[in-house]
Amino acid sequence: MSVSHESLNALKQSMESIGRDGARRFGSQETNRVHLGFNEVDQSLGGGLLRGATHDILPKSAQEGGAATGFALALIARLAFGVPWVWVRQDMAAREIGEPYGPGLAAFGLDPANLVLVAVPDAKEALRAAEESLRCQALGAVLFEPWGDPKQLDLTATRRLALAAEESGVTLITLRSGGHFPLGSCRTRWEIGAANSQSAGGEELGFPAFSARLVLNRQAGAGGPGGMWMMEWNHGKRLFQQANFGTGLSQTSHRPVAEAASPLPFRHAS
Amino acid sequence: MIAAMDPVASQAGLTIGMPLATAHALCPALDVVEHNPLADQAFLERLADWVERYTPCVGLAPPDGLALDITGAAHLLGGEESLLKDCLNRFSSQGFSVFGAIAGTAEAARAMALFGQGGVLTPGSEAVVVAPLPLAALGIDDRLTLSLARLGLKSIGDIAQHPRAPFAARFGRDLLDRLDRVQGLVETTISPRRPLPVYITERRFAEPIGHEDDVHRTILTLAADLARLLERQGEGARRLELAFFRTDGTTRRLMVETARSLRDPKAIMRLFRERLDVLADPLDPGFGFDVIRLSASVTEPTPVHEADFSGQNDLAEDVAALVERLGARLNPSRVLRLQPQDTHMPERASRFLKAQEGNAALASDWEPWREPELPPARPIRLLDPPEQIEVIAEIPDGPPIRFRWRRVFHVVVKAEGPERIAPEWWRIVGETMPPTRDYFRVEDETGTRFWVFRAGLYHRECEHPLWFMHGLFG
Repeated sequence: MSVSHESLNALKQSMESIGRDGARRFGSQETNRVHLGFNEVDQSLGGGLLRGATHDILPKSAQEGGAATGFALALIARLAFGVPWVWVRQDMAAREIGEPYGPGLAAFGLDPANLVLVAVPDAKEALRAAEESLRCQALGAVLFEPWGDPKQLDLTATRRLALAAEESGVTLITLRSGGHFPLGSCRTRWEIGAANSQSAGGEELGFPAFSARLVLNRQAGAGGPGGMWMMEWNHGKRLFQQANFGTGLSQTSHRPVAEAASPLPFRHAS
Repeated sequence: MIAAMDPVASQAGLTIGMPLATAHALCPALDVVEHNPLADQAFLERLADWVERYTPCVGLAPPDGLALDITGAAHLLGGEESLLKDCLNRFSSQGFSVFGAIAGTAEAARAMALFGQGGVLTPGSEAVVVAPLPLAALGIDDRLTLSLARLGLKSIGDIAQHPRAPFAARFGRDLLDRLDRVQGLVETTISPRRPLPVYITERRFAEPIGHEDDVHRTILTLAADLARLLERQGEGARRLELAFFRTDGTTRRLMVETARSLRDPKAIMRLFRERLDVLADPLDPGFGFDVIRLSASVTEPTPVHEADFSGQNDLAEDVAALVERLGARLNPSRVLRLQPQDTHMPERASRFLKAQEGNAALASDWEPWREPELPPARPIRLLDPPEQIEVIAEIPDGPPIRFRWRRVFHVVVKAEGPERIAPEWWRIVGETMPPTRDYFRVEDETGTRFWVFRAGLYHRECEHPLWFMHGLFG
């Protein structure tokens, strides 16, 4: 039985995060960052997305709810590999752009068995449920999806969430489905639009692609104010990569080599 | 016909079963209210709720009786005598005419309450005490009473002293069974209205309590008591019920379900606090609660807790506790997990399960849906139900080249399909067959990806098939 690099890395990470007293430890720069796999973006973020913080995802237009969801789920796949995570979604979001779909999540590189979906009727309950979930250290991440531009999502409420995330080390991804303008505070804010997928043939659909704009970047050690990238999600490797426009064929040279090259299973071999 | 009446009417010479016209003739000033058996039944249920303050095992004895199994409950109120007195007093002070008796069987107690002097029967004395009571005390119908009366049999004792076989032959087994039960010769059980809890703890207050803090403190002490009971048996609770009995007879019940077998008093307390927090109509103590009872109605053995190296157990436990708290606040049906289903129909291939209901979803295997080398074949979000769209297709069987969804036009630049999904005829019973679906994955000029399908095959199934939007890709 061969141990994949990913599981070895995960093990190293989890060992590093255990303090001498046996308790979980947070705060070290290295383990606190999640590489997205896309070098430019990781540099811009100062080494990756910060854990135990809040990150906002705003769809570029009302039509791009699917793309924004895809980007959010890709981040979740990076943050919560092999551990449970919670998706708090308002009923309105499910009615407007659909419920999470198991086969689709699996095809996107997530293990649906790890998902706990919390269906909430309104923004107030959504905030409560998100905060409650953030306090649970066992989670890999919380995906928080209120609908529209709720007035409850103000500075106070988002700071509460940020505080809860910092205390537990659980990352919050706020998916602003149906939202039009930024609300509250967060560590990074992304504006996500759809992007045409790249494929070998003309007619076929390629890997999920996004046009991602980092509009707010408050991460410590961040290398730049922000930027805009065409990002492609490789669900087999669970990594972002550069979308190769113009060539039609994806080039391997852009792919990061830090992580395993073979497709990863949902669960570590046991 | 008169179904029930008050003492004044009875003094005027009216009897139950008398035609209304006759009654009016006897007593022209009669106030008549139409008999409503359903309302009576509902009221009896409410009274039954109230008497649960004495014991959780309460059975209905329609139309106007309640049977209580007070085994092991009498000492809480200082013995059977005082329990009966307390119960009857509370009823009469609320304006009921009530009769009660305590005996070895529910039937004997009923006979004594309705036809005798009531009170508490000493064990074993039932046969003697009920002997002089009329046959109606057996609970048999009037026709049978009449035919027995024709034989000169008027009291229970009359039948009891005769040989049994001829009675059984002539009037059926049922009569003798009833006789045995009334005489306390056989063990009978009261069928309770709701499943009996496995573990019960309660607090009775001489002075009713109403303050929120007092209530919370009481819940915590009850939870601690319950935890001790559960621990002794090595069990944990999966469903807990908290019942508040108000002095004025109203009862209020709260139920929480847990995601794992639970006995930590603090966790139990937290669940009920979440529940109390979101009640649509808050708990109103009125003049105060005089009994608060916590019961565990579903329990299961608690696995012996062993912390392993990775702390995996703790993590699973933490998630279960979170699921519980969210479920108690929102409703267990709002905290869900996904489970794959063995079906071709896309909308049924993924099912939501209550996250509390076990670990089936945790162990579910989604691996078959994963195709690491290929772009995703299924959308991440599914619209339920699918929404109809207007489509222009180049060739009848081909993919759409343009479509309108929610009043926005989309020009298709890439399309893959069709993926033909036929209805599962073996699941359809009696209805018309839904049309075959041809699914296409399409990408519009902005790069948004959709999952659309055409319902029906051209010419073979229908002339103008409809198109639907079924999901969104990332």
